[in-house]
Amino acid sequence: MRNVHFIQRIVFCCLVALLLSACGANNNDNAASENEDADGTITLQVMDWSDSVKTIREEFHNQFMEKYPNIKIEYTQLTVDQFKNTILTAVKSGEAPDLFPVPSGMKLETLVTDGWFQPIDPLIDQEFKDMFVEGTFTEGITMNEGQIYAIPEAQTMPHSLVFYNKTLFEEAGLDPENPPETYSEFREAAQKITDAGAGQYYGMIEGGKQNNRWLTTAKEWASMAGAGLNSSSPVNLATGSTDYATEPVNGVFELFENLRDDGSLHPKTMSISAPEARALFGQGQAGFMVQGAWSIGVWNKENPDLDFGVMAPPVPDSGRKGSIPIVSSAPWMGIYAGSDHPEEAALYLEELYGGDYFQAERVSSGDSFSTVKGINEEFVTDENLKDYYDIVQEVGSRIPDPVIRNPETVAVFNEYNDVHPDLGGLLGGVVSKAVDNPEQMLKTYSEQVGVAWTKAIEAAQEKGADIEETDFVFPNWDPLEDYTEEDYAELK
Amino acid sequence: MRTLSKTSTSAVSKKKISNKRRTTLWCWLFILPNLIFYAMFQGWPIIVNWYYSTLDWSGLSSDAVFVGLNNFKELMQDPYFWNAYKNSFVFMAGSVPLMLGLALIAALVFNNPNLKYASIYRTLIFIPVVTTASVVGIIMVYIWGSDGAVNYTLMQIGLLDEPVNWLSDPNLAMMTVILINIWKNLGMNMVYWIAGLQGVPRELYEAARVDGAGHFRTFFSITLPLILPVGAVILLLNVAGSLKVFDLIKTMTDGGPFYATDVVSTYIYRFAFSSEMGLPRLGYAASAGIFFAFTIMIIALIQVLVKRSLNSKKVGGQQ
Repeated sequence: MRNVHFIQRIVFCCLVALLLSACGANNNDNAASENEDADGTITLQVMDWSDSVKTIREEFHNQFMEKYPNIKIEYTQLTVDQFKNTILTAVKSGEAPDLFPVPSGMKLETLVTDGWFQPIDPLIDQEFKDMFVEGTFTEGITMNEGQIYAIPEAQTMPHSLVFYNKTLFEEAGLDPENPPETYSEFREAAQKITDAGAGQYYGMIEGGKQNNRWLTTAKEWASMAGAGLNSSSPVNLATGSTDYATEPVNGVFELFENLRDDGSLHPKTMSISAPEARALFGQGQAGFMVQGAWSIGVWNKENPDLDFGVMAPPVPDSGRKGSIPIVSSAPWMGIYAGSDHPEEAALYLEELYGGDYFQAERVSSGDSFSTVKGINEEFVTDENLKDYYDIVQEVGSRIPDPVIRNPETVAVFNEYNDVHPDLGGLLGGVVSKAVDNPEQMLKTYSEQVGVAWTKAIEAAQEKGADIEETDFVFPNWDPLEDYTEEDYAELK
Repeated sequence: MRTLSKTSTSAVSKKKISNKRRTTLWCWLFILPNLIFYAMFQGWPIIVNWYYSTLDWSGLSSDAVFVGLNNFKELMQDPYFWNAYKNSFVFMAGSVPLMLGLALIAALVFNNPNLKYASIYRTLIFIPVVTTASVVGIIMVYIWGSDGAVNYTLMQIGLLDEPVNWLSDPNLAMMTVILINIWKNLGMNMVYWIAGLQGVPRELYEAARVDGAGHFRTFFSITLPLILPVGAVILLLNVAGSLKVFDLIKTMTDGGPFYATDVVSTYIYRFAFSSEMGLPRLGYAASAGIFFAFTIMIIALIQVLVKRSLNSKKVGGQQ
């Protein structure tokens, strides 16, 4: 009997100990000690979603750890969606990594208010700040109340340019040096490639499973046709209108409807993601693909025999009436407010942007354009990357940003509830033949966006934001020209 | 002597009570960890979800606003929610009868003691069950793709002239996902049915054989009535499992093309965790979750009531 009592006590004590240890696992002291070994080695945790430069990043980490043997880097790479979910839990539990990017779709001000990030200013010097190209640090984008909280990953480039396979062009009797310019020419070229392919390759391929790819194409191609749309605002910034049932948008929808009916879209288009589509394009299975500059580096590495070129998105047969929207560089990496090692985190940033390796290697690999002065000029050697840059300069223009004009407008974007299905969803629906009356769907969508937008403005005003509907209207904006600081000043 | 006996009886009874208490205590002690984990990972999230459903909140920022039942009101007005709601039931109605029927046939065949290598066949059917649904989903995208094994085979045997987009055609995607779901879960249902079949007393079959009953008569008069209670449990599990399907659809079609396979789980995920512009809407997603859970609860309740009524009729009949 005594034995039974003894066992009872042991079991009870174990259970209590288990519970107590579970409760104590969240203790900050424990977390701190986890990041610092007995020999003084500091573990710096970094998390992001930059899959296209994974190899270069890992090499950078190796070099960093070699240079600073007292710092060990623990790098976690996730997909964008995984990151969003993970970082939310991590911040709430006080266990976020030392360095992580601003999640896509979120405004810096909200995160600073919620205590996600700490200002970088006290940890860096003026020399470091001067290293970046003009416009990198903007109030409301990468800065909050005059302090820097995040650094952009790279220069923001539109990702709706069209890549084309020169070999397939030749096989279809097309001139690789004169890619199509208008919707009609594009449709004809896609059809010719499809015919030449006879089931082996097709006119065009897209990662149709990814709604964001359709959204980018719909907005930016329509913008070139004069729709005044862009990825960072649901309204036409020239007029403040939420009307999507317009000629430029309908034109893009009609083009894809025609491509679908011609059989020019790769049959896998709607069931694959963008990286899968990129891989199939690399294997020569399609003539055209809409992608960002980062694909160049991937194809150079994975498909060295792929002979491809880059071209501007096609425009309506009546000509170009707008530009590809170039938005302010998005905020990326920042230092966690609860980081135990902010100085080391700042050192990491200094090496990432100012060191000899990462920026140069990234740019020369053809991944993207650096925000650091002089790097692009020296290291962009790839012809396609140069072409990409030149085309963006030619057909892209910097659009007005309501947040730069009035930082309080960020409250409206925070209040805005996305409408589902969005423009990208509708375009994907057209391609999959699930939407048979796109014009009507666009009208309904316009109404829904209008309601959501008005609601967001009212909600922001109720919460005390000093904003007006007119803050989102830039009457002096010419969609064919860059919106400059003088233009902002003119509205004041 | 009599007093002594009374005292002794009282002591024995006290001891019995004490032993009973101790046993009860032990039982609770062993259940406790499970209860704690249930409360932490199931009970608490359910309660907190009710609260979240009354908020206009992204789940990412701290500025949650209490909006009462507005989320539910908006949900009721969203045609895409009702589309997802309808699709959840289409998926369930398409999957469950076939899953139950085919699994029963498989169980009857592989429960035959005279069948050689029965355990190997059972294992083969059971393998998909132990494979993670998301892995199955990813592999199936390739197998059912336009240049996948299914199209290749059908073209080789002359059933198709050109490849079919099984997963990207809005008219075929749901059927394809249902078929894969049936294949994936067949093994589990077969095991349930086999457990039911093995509970049927052998003597009844022998008696039926002596009475000259054939296979069909034996099945419909002996086997089926005796395994029906097991069937009711399998039905409940399958209905609940099919209505909350997520991983298979997420990995195979992500609810597409254009919401053709969008079920309530993928609808909730879309609002809770992803947003192309603005922030996600965790509060709204929570209200969709609560509403759908309520539906499942009503279905489960109806099923339990029907089962009870059948059982009571059965007991009445036996009396």
